[in-house]
Amino acid sequence: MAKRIVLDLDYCIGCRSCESACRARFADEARIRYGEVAPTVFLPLACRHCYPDPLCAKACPFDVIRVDEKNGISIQSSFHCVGCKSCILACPFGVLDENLLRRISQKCNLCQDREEGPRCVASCATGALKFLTEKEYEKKRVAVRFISRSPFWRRV
Amino acid sequence: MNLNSSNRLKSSICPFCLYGCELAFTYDENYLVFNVEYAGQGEVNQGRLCPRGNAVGIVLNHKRRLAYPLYNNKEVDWDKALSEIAARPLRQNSEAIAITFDRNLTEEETGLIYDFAERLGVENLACSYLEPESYFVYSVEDCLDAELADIENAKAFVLIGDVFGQTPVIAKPILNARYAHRDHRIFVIDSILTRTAGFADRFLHCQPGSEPLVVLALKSLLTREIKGLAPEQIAEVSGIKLTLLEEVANSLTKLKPIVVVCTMSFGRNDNPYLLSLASKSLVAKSDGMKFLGLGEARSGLGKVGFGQILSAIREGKIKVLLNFGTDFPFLYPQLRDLAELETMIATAVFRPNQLAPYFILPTALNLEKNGTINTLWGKVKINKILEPISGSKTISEIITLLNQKLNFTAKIGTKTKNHEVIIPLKQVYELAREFLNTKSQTESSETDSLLLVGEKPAIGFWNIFDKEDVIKINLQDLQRFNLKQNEPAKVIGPAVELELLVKTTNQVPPGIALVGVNRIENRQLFTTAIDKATNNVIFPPTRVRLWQKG
Repeated sequence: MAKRIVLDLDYCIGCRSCESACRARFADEARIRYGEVAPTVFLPLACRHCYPDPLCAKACPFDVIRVDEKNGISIQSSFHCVGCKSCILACPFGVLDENLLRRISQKCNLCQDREEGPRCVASCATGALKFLTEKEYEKKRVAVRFISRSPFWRRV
Repeated sequence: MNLNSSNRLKSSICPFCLYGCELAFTYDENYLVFNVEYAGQGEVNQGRLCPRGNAVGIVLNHKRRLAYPLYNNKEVDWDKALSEIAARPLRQNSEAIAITFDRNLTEEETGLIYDFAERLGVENLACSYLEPESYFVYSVEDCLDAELADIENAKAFVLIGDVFGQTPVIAKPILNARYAHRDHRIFVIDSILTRTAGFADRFLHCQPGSEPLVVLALKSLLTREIKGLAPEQIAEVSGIKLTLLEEVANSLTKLKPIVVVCTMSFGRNDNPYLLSLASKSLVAKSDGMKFLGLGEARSGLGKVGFGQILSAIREGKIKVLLNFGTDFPFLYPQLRDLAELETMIATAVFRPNQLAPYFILPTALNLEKNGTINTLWGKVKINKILEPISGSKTISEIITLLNQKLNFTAKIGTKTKNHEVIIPLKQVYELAREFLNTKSQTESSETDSLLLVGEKPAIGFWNIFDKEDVIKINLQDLQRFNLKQNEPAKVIGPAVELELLVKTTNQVPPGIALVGVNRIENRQLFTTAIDKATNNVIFPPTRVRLWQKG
């Protein structure tokens, strides 16, 4: 399986640099979303690229979202999307934005046009977002420090 | 066309704040598509960027970039605009002219502005960058500035204000140092519960404006030599428990080295002069402590304070104002006295929101010119990586053309006044004692209004990403004033009324409202005050009332 975006909660300061990098690239429509759990706890929500059966792809009535078998990434063809919002309802993680600015849904493709990896990861001001393979993720043990063990600890 | 081809990869220093991140981007042959690349290997940011840096591609080709000089809201050509300016009685009446400068200037350009003022015989030369971080020019004796290595090796941090919100890139070395050992600590002093405060081991949540007193209470607990600044009294004024102050001071004695990082925000601090001096005096004469003052820009001092120019305009003594830079007067719509000027000439990067009977000359951004700029880590030479956007000229070109129109010859080489002003520690304590006395006497017993404070996160930069048309209040205030969440309310300030969406937050205690000050409309709610010590204009927190239909 190819690399995935992983968040290290210990480092995320909620500056939304990831979002601005995405918006700067994709004409003001960020494909990474964020959730504000509390004023001090902030979670960028990137697409998980579920493998092998992403629910967004299953829900799509026109097969616009497909899984690339080479790297396990689900890619949406924005040309064929009709904006029915089925994928948005289906996504169990809520990472697809329900506000359709161009009447089509926006889905992360892990910046396939950039060799070095997604722009949100490269831009992350603190290095909280990481782009890791499954093995690297297990080895690195991301988010094991005390803050991420209980995010609500960060309520001063 | 391959956008990622390295021959079109250009790198420079990010012009949008003092941190000086390395910035790289690629563009196509028509200079139309800019892709920010995160290729920097520099030790400052290793390719990481904040929202401001990411916006560089948008800013360079923004649809609101000004491409023609404007006069009386009409587009004119350069020659006509400059001839009109030169035709004003500039030389005959130098006492009625003021020259100001704000940010996005190189050192060479500031020098040219000083020269130009000298030639015209203008004494009213002031810095018009009125954001509070310009107060970091005022320093105290024996205050050491921190380097990047100091941050990496520090064991404790005292963060004053929303440090991570102002300069997100600094968070990485700070958090790395914090997580290096379980005993390392982060202490945050602020009046708002920010995301920076979320990382604090101890958060000193004080009343708005009492930050300098809290810092001096720590100094007083550390040295036990300062008279007249009793921590007990400060604890009472600032609303922080004395035991908490003592605990923090106790930790600071055990943990060395320490880095004190301070940042200020528009509409948050009512005495930025004292806050700059207080945070620097915490560092002064104490071993293993270093200081870092963050901000978006730091301009020189000029010859007079801007407050002096403003009062001269009010009295009708100054008729012509010439500003070089990008922000003034568009960032400060509350300066209504400027309407009394006969002629106002300003340079700008963007087409202003509200048109006004000015001369507005389009100018270039820092990425579009050569020169030396100041960053936190020293002076950096920047090279022009793009031609200025069509129709705009750099400040040095504008001044050269003005010199030609006015028949001035070569440069004089006037020295710019950019150095720090050192204030003795005794004087700082004296100022603080006065401030403490005024603070303890004023009682905030107004029940029908809220104290409005400003916040300035990096994402709201120039209104490009976040629109910030909300006012955040505490849930208790929502019920007290019978307001509805997520619905527009009229915010009635001292001078203007605005309609903003009401949101609840526990970032602020009851009685305080929070508004984003990256949005220019929101800035109008804050009134101006003149700082007596420096004769400069400040924007303290202000009182507003909220009103909702139905």
